Amino acid sequence: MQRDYIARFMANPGAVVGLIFLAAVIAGSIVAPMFLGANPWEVAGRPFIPPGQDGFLMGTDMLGRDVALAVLYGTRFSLLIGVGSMLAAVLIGATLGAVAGYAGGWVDDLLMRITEFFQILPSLVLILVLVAFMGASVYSVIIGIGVITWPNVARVMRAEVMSLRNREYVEAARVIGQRPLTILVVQILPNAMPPVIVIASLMIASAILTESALSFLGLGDPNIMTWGYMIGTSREYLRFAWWISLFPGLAIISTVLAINFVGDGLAAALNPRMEEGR
Amino acid sequence: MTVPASTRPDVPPSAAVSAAPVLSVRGLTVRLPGGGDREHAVEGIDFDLAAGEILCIVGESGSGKSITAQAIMGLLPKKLEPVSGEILFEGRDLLPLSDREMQAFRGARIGMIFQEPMTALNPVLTVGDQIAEMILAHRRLPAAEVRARVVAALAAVRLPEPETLRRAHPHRLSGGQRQRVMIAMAMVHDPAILIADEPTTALDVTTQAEVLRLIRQLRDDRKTSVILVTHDFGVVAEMADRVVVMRHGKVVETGPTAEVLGRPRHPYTRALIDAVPRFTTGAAAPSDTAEKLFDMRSITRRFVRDAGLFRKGTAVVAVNDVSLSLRRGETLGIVGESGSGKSTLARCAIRISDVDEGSILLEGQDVTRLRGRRLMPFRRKVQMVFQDPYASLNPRQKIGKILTDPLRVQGHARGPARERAIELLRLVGLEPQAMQRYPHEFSGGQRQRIGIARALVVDPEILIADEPVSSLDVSVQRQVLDLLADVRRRLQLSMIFITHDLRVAAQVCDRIAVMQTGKVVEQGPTAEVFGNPAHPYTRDLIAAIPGVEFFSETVD
Repeated sequence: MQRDYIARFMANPGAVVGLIFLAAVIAGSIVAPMFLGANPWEVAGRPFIPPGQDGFLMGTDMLGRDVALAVLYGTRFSLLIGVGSMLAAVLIGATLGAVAGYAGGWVDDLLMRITEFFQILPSLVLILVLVAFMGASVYSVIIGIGVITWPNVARVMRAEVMSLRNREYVEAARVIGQRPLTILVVQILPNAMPPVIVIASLMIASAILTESALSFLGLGDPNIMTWGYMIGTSREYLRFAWWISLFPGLAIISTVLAINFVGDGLAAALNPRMEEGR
Repeated sequence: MTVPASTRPDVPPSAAVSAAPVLSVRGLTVRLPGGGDREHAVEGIDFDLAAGEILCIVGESGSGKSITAQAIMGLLPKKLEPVSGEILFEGRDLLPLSDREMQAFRGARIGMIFQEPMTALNPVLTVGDQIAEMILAHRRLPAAEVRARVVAALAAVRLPEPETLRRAHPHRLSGGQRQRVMIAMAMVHDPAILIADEPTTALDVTTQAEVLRLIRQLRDDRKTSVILVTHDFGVVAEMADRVVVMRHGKVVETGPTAEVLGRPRHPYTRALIDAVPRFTTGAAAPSDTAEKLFDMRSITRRFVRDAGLFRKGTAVVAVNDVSLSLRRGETLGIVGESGSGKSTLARCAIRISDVDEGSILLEGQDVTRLRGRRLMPFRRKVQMVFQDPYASLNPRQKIGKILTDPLRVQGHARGPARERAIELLRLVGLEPQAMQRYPHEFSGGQRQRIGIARALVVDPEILIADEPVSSLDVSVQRQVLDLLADVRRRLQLSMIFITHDLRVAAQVCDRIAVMQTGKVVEQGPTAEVFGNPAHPYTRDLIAAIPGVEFFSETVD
């Protein structure tokens, strides 16, 4: 059973490359301090050293800090915030969406009105208020991003569950006497997951970007180095010190791409009839 | 009624068939993309279509009958490539023509209609605009002239009030009316050939009869040659002058209808014709003395449509005061067309839809309002076989899980449940290895066997079968019906059998209830209801069975 899933995942070259890349990035962020020095905030040389000179692979920033070290450090918290807020959003959104879609009627009406309430609030303002209220920390950022993104998951999940609810195999499960919760979890959710997995992987990407917006506004956790923080603070030097924002930018793009590949691979692996689609 | 200028006086069908063929297909071979189960989609297809002739291409799914029709229209999917042969139409080979060159023929000289009248029309344009578009695609005409032709075209397919109808959008029309609009579009340029690919498969039987009658009428009026692609030998018997029987991409037999149906030379043709359910009742009248096992009393089920926060919505009565009972050991057939409420009634009977009024009794015990745990004994005694073998099995679960779940829910241990599941697989003619496989690895017929095994695994007393064979090919249909008859006898099941196909109902059921718009209009022993129908609707249904005369006469 488990071997099937792994085999189907492995059959997808993009997913395997993405997974290897992610593993390498995470390993790098753990191992890096041992070689490059411990503190990304520490001034390591002159400001604005271009990449490749004086032994700085990615150059130094406006205060003379090592960009390469900061990018590696940033991996930890950018990934933590991306994955953490995605999990929070999926947990809230998928649960509410699945319940709304399966129960229908007034339960659906109530849950959807709540969802809409969150959707109509300007999301950046909402998150600013939330983070300001909870105090700037990694966890408040994760919770804040989770709170503004779960409605999307809920909508997708609800639509999927509604379309699956009346399938004959779901009715067959009712005919054999399975309980509603079992039917929802065992019969419907596995079939409803692929689009959720796809948007979840995209959400990691947008969470990393949202965090950078927060950092730029000075509402990120001041004690952590993230890619968003690096891009935010180096924007004004973009014209003559492009490397300070280029390398964290590349890090975001490649990580997001890798996560998307892995997401596609997961969706395919969870589907036993890969070639036919759903 | 307006009659188009082009209409010719009636010509009897026999006289309409002249010697020179309008269309000749010679050695048509279309290659399949690599990796399929065979190299060619169709191979060495030969046939002629005479002027004013109705030619039926008949075969089961995968026989290549639709590919042949698509090749003639130049509408083959991109990955399918004709490799040899020719399609001669009015002295020209159509096969090498480019798409642009084909457009001069398509719609003008060769008209076509498709299976799904629901999706073939554009929902945002009025039907009149769509017919006008068809006219203007081939001829420049002033607006008034176009309008006149649109009205004439709608009148020609016997649509009521063409002047009003042309301003209607497709969703206002019934399925049969939409198919008439499709035919009007196909016939608007008075084509030499009309190609119809399963034109009535999605329609109800009475609508089907009307559409077939219309096609024949148009042929008689205009001497149009018709190629009718179908899987239904009833339609062939009803319509065809000549028949082409296809299997696995090859023509196995061709000839005049009476010959092919009456004295088939090829064993496959013979087998297909034998598999067509005859409209004859085999079962003896059931005894009235057996106990009432399952009783539905005055069942009413309503649905509320378009209800909102401040609107009450309109109630639709799907099942209206229906009383039916099932005696031990008998098969009760519920027949009717789409919208008659027969499926809703089945869902009420199996307790996955609530009833608004009335009561359901199993062995004298009222089960109408039972829920949850208290419904479990009912779930063990009454089971269901579903219509669509592709939708009724969860694509992400292995057969082993699908078959053991009903027992696990009933509280059986894993080991005995697996043994019982394997026993059932054997009973329905599948190998125990099937337990490890996913539904998509099986054919439609095999899946339906699995569906039957799932229903039987808890050893029920009553089986409710909702159109269990209507999405299967005719030969597979036969096998599944035989299997059902076999298990019914061996396990002494009582059965409620829901179908739109009166031929199948006649074969399988001891008693019949005929439903129309939510009500039972007639019920009684099968021989009585079908042999001597009392209600006019029953008589309409019987008269609409395609090929009913032919297939009743051939029975000894």
